Amino acid sequence: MSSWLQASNWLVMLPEMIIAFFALIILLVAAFTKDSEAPYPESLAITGLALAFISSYYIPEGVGYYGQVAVDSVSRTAFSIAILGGMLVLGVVPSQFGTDTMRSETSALVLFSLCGVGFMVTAQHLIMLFLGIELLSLPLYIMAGMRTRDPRSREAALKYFIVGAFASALMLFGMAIYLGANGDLLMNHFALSFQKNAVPPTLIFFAGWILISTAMLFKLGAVPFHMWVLDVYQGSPSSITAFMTFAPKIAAFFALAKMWPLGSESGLSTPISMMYLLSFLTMTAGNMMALMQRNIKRMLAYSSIAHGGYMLMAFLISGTEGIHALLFYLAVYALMNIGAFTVITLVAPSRDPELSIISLSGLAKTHTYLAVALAICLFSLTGLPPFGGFMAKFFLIKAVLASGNVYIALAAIFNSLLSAYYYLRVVLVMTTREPLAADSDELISPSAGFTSIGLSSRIALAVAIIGVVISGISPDFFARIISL
Amino acid sequence: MFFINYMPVILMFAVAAGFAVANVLLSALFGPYRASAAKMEPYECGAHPVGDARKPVVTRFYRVAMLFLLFDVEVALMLPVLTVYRDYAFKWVAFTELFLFMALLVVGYVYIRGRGGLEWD
Repeated sequence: MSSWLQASNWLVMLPEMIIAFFALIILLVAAFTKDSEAPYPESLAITGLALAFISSYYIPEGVGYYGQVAVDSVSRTAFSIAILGGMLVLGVVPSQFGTDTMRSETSALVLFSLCGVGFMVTAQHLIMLFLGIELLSLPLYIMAGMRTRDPRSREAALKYFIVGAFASALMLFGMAIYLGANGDLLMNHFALSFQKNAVPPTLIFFAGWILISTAMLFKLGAVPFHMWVLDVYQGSPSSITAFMTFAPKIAAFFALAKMWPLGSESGLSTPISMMYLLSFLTMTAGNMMALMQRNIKRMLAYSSIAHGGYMLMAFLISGTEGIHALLFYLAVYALMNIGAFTVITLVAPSRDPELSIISLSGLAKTHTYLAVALAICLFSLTGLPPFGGFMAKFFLIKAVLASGNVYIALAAIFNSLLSAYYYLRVVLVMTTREPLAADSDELISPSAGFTSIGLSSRIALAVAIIGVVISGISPDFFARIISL
Repeated sequence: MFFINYMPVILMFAVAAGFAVANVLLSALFGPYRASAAKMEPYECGAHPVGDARKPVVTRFYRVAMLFLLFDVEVALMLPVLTVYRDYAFKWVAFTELFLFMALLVVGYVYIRGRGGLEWD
């Protein structure tokens, strides 16, 4: 048994184990305490995530569990980004749910979901990948419906579940075909088949590859498969939406990176032109439809689709440069979205349950700091220079240009210009319009009266904003923090 | 010809289907037909059918049924482990894993009890 344990190299999964352990502890604590006297389950969850984050620095890189998982610097960094984002989201969760609802469950579910991210970014076997995708998604379906009294929240949970189940079915179908084409489910057949001088893959292999990739594209909301994003993002509790914007994206992007030929390294033209088209459609359609939105969460949902389109450009770049640009982009993107959705969480319940953009009128006068924070996030999402969003887009577009794809880079730049309209309109509404008459001066979110609860979300917001600013001013320093 | 190997099976299917269809057709054609109120009732295992089947059911049943399924499926998940149990190298690993799996389920059970998932009122 000891030899088996040594051979399995189980330490590579230590961060995931720590996270799962803490999730179970939270559930056990929840079993013996009432909701109203819940001893801040989020603090327990954040402690667990911090331990997992630290441990991920010390675990050895390498293959574990007989080739089922492999940890390298890319997967480790991607997982670290997800863990750090999860910690920030857990800081916001108390303001969202107050003292009377299922905070213990939410904390545990966020941890389980992050465990799924870890499985997906390290998976080397399709069964492992499928396990990860389910472990990531099932908690998200539940959390989308966490506001059980709100019909929109229930609708979001059901829609997300149905679309997710459909994507899982496609993936299983693809896995069956892949098994038929290759004889086993190890993911290295992708890399082997897309080598430059390899035997051209068979049609049956392509069928499996397309189906499995489609499941991943569903998860990250690329354009032909994006319809679920809007209702799910709108209906879910805002802090959970912040988690949804980055966690499945990180997982799906790095799972996709293992099964997709990067740039022209395969010598096949089909994957390149497919990714070209997907990326162009995703960024353009996302931005076009965001222009017409009156609801801030729907607008941010379309904006996250558009950003997914920019990030898909990383697959047009051969070598590691594209992957590194993608990691940086995802880190900044997670921070920007956490910041924006935190402000929405703190402001929205008092103003307008429907969250129209107009309801943010005069926020700069009533809540200056929150308005400034939201403005910084929106500037950064647009890609304006002093903030992280600019550097992220700069690195990515520079690498795309260096790989010779001029047209898609131009399309991305024009799309950024287009997106300035709908992001900056929100800033305009916040600063120039008078506060609505029916508006009260105070935040009547569930955090009212619980200063320590409000405090944690303010700290999370401050960290996110500082991260957005630092990544714009000193990208090297930021990259070192997230261990690029 | 590929299908020739399966000819007995196909023939069996054809005979079975033909037998069933022929009997239903013959009895419909030649059998006497005398309807009565009792005969026209839907068949429900002897129980007297009352009202619509689509009536609301207390949601507590769903919760209990769901939890029952959760702990029931666990047995199905244990069965594949038996396939590696003969392999000596994996024997103790499989044994430990099964206990770990049970421990996780116990955590779930404690959580359900603690949160009042099995209380009827």
